[in-house]
Amino acid sequence: MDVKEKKIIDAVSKVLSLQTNEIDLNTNSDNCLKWDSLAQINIIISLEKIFNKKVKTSEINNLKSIKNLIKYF
Amino acid sequence: MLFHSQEFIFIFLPMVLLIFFLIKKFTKISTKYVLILSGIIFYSYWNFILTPIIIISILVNFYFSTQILNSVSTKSKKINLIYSILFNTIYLIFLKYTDFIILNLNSIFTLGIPMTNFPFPLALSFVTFQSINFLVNCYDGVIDKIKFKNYFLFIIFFPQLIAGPIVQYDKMMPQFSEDKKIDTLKKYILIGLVIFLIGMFKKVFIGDNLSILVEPIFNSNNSLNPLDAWIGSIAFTIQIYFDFSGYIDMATGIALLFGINLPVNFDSPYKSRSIIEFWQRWHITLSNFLMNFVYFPMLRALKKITFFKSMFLILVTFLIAGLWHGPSWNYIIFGALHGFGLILNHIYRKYIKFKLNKIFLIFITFNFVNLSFIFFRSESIKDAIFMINSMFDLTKINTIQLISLEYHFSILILVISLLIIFGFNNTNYLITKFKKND
Repeated sequence: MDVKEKKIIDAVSKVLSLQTNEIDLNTNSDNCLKWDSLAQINIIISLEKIFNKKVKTSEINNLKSIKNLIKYF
Repeated sequence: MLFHSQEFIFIFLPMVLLIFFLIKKFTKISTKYVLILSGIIFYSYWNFILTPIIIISILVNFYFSTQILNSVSTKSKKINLIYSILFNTIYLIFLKYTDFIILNLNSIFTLGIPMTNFPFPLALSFVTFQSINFLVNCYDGVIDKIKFKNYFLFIIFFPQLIAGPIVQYDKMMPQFSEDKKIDTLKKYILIGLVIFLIGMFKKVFIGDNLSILVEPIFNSNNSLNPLDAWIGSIAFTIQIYFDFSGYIDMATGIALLFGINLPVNFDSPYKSRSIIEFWQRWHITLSNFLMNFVYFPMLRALKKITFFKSMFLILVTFLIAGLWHGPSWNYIIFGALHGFGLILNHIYRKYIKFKLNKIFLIFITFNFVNLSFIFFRSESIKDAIFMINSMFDLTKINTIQLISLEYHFSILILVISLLIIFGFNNTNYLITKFKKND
């Protein structure tokens, strides 16, 4: 796992109040109950701060999986 | 013109369709003009005087969008975006909420400011959200060039003009492409008609029949039997779903006749196991807008985000959502109830690991929604509280029942509609299945 992946998984697990081992590359909003629309916004904002990169509003709904988050950031 | 009115079904829609396909087949004229003109006629038919309200909104927002797109510096882009959002917000408040503000000022400060009695600015609430979405997309670079006729059509397209769903420019406009072949368009006609008829059935047969139960109970000034109060409140909760989702189905069906797919707005909301899930399934395009365009920028503006602050912003977002539904304290309370419901739901999700039975969760979610809709339907907060008291005041069990045997047909509809809601797949399922088979 590279640094970026680790950073993203750490941030997402923190927002979702889950252990890092409960999240992997296949986690997304469909297979994780806690990943709801509020969590989605909180994930985006926390990653924006970590990577210092702004997310366009229209992208929010496309970034509902670990894979897509890794691709974007 | 309502979708289920005779003038719409027998005159307006067939004529627009005929002209649309004739122009498509025999001329090189853009069918967009047919849809723009029909949108203007459709809107003007409600109230001719209101038409300039929408036209002004379109002109000003088009101007702002070109200003945003032509800005050289990020700073001027941002300033134009802020001005444009301010314009939309103030425009909506001025036209829809002035009398509500005056009424409250008068009662707080015992003033005598006269009311304006502006006519209700139909569709403007939806147009405002759609325009803000569009302007932010211009700012973000999702939209890089626009033509006036495209923007005009985006707003005035009559199937979704009055009651949504709230659509996005980049998802809608490619669908209006003039390159679409007639044969491709023809394929959608049958499914479009089926969806339209399902919507009409939901609105006219179920919704309107349930209103026969709802009206006498909500309008009763005398004490209510608890059984009546329960029947009335549940009948309204079911009615509003069939009315609204029926209307959206009709819109979806009509849009399909022109080869346009509208986004899904309802996904069996009463099967939700939590309030969070309810808002993922009820008026989906509105909750999406609220999360992305109200909650997101507010949260982003915070320096340090805590769970408490994010919960507070959820409440603020839902107060705005409540007020957006109309100028009344009842809607604000409806919003507040859902805001608090969501906060409780998030606290539960975050701190409590205990799992509850699925049917029990659906049951309590439905009952919470049912209570909140009493505020949505009642004339005043006092009436809503009276209704809720009646539901739980068992000493009134011996008072005369309003809903007697003569309402047996509507009661039957209520039972059938509950079966439809909890036992069947929804219209989206049908559309998805059709597309898969295509």
